[in-house]
Amino acid sequence: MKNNFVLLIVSAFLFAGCGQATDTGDESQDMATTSFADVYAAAEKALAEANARRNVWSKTEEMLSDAKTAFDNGDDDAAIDLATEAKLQAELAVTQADFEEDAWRSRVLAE
Amino acid sequence: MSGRTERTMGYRVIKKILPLSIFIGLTFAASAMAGPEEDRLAIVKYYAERFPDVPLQEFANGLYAFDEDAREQWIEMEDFPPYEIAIEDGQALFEAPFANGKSYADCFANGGIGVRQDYPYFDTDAGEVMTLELMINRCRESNGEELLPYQIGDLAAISAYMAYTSRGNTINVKVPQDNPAAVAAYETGKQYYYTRRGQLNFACISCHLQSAGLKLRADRLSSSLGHATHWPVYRSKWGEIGTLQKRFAECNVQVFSKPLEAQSIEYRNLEYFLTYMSNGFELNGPATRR
Repeated sequence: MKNNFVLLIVSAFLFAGCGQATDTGDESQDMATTSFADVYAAAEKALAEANARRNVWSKTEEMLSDAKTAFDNGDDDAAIDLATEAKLQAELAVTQADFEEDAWRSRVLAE
Repeated sequence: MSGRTERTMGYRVIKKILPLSIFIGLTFAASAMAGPEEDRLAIVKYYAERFPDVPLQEFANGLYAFDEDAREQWIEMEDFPPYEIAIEDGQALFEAPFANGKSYADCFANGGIGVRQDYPYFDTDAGEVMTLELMINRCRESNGEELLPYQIGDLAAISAYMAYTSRGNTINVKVPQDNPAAVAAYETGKQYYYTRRGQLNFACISCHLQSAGLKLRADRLSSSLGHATHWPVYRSKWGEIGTLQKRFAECNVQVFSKPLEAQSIEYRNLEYFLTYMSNGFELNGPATRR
C-alpha cells in the first residue's frame, strides 16, 4: 500500500513535469509564430510601399520568400532574421525614394 | 566678443552666403527645370569638354569611342556581324502577311522603312510615349495577332530590321513644348535617369555620365550621349539580340534594383528622354556590343 502511494506520488510529479515541459514547448512555438507573423506582416507592408514607389531592391522579395520557407521548415530563427532583413531593405528603398524625390535635381547638368 | 558682435558677424556671413546659396539653388533648379534642348546642349557640352579628342558622332559607338583595344576587336567583329541573322529574320517576319492579309507595312509611315529616327514619339491622343517596339506589338494587336515578348526574339528581330532600314537617318525625337503632357513625360524620363535606386544606390548617370570612359572591372563604361542610336544590339554576354529596354532592365539588376516591366510608362519615358539626348546623331543600329 505504502509502495503504491509512493509510486502514485512520483507518477503525479512525473506527469506534472511532463505537462509543464509540454506547455513550455507550445508556448515557445506560439511566441515564435506570433513574432514571425508580426515581422512578416510588417515586411510585407513595407514591401508593398516600396512597390507602390516603384523602387524595390532586387533581393527583398526573394528574401521574404525564403523567410516563409524557413518558417515552414521549422527554422524560426532564420525565418525571423530573413523577414527582418527584408523589412529593413524595403524600408530603406522607400527612404531612398523619398530622398531622391528632390535630390535628383541637384545632379542635372546645366549648360 | 559680445553677443551683439557675434550676431553682427553672423549677419554679415549670412549676408555674404545667402546670395551665393540662392544663386546655386537657382542654378540647380534652373538646370533641373531646363527644357529638352537645354538639357541636350548641356550634355553635348559636357562630353565635348571631357573628351575633346572624340568627334561628336563617335559617341554613337559607345565605349568603342574611347577604348582603342576594344574598338579594334569590335571592328573585326563587324566583318561578320552576329546581328545579321536577326536582320534577315526580322525582314522575313516584317514582310510576312498577318492572318487578315495586312502586314506591318500598313501600320507605319512609309511602309515602316526608314522610320526609326522618329521613335519614340508622344501620342497626343493616347497621352503617352510610343516606342517603336510598342508600336510593333500594337500593330499586331490591331490585326488580331498575339503580342510578342518585348526584350528578345521575333520582336527584337523586326526592330533590328527596321533599324537597319533607318541607318544613316538622323534621330529627330520631338517634345512639343505646347503639350504639357509630353513635357511631363520627358521630365519623368529625365528624373528616372538622374535618380539613384537599388541597393547600390546608383543612378543611370552614375555609370554613363559621371563615370563614362572609366573602367568598371574589365569593361569601360559608355557615354549617355549617343546611347540610343544603335538598338537593338547583339551583346556577346546575351548571345542574342535584345532591345534597349532589355538593357534598361539589366542596368536595374546590376545595381540591385528590381527591374520594371518592359514598355512600362517609366521605361518608355526614360527612352523618350534618352533618345532626345541623341537628337542629331545618325542611327547606326543594329550593333554589336560586348
